[in-house]
Amino acid sequence: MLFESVAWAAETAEHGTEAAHHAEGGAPHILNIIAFLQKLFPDSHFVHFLHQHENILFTVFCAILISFFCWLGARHRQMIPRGLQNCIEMLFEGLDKFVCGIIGPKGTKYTPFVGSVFLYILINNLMGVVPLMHSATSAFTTTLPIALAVFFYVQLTGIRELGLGGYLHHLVGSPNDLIGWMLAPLLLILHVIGELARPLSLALRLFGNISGEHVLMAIFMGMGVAITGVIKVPAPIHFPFLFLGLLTSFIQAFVFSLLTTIYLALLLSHEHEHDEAHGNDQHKTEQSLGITEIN
Amino acid sequence: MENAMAFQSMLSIFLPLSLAIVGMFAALALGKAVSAAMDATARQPEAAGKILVNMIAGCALIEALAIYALVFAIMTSAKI
Repeated sequence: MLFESVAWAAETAEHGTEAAHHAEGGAPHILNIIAFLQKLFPDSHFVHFLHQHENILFTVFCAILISFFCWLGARHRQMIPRGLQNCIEMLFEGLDKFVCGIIGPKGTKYTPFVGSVFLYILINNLMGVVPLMHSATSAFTTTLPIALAVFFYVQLTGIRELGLGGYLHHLVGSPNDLIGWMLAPLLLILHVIGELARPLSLALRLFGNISGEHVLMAIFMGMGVAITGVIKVPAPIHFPFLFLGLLTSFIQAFVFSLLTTIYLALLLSHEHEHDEAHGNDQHKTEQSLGITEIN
Repeated sequence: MENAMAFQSMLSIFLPLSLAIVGMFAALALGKAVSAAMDATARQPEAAGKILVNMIAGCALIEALAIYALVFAIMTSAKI
């Protein structure tokens, strides 16, 4: 019964000018500008092409938006910043502080990557709240490449910073005594599975959160249009969920970049071990114990 | 034909039920995490920022499990 009413709501909304429409067999989603164009010109091949590649178009738009604002802010660089430059410097300083707070003072090197991931995901997520826009992160095909980029970046950073030997030593659980080396094959399997599960869980988390929020909003938009028959006015009952959307957008972008930073920090924590290899043995054992606990 | 009907009606009963169970336990876990974070913040208000960041990381990991169930449910709901 509930499904019938939702389907009915979505169908009713299809005749309205805004709100949700029901795709074949899928969950309802919010009407965006390209789907709207397709409704206006159903025969046009160009619009059909746009509709097929809407996620790519929206991500490219998002990248252009970010680049444009950064260019605008960095156009007249001054020692004492004004206007947009001020905002952008504040944002980047905040990101730098966030990364250095987790990785340590050497973290500035990784701020560009983590910051780009954060901004890209945040702007993409927020586009879902803007009318006639669509957030591309609600598709698995957008979030998986970002997660894979993070995966390869973390692995390559590990090899670059620790050396191939150090990286493999990390993969077998950093053994330094006989028992450690005996457990190494087991820990190798565990570590490899853990590393491979990370991109999948990152991608699924972002995709699930954003698309779930969109489906929720679309269903409430459909209900809002559906009750028009009763009270003669389309009711914006999805309004509270827009705030939920703002919150989810920020938290998911934050969590994605936080986890990226934590993965980097877990790999780089071995670096200090190599630095302090000449310290006394007591200290070293204590530190390696601490690191095993973190892992 | 009848088998397909039975399959669909079973799916439409148990799909929302599975989401409800997942939601219940995710809410319990989140409640535990947040209450511990609140306790910690009350004991040491100057560490509030750090505790908040750690809490959000933990909450994201807990929520991820519920989200996997949601993704699965959305994918399967096309079969009803």
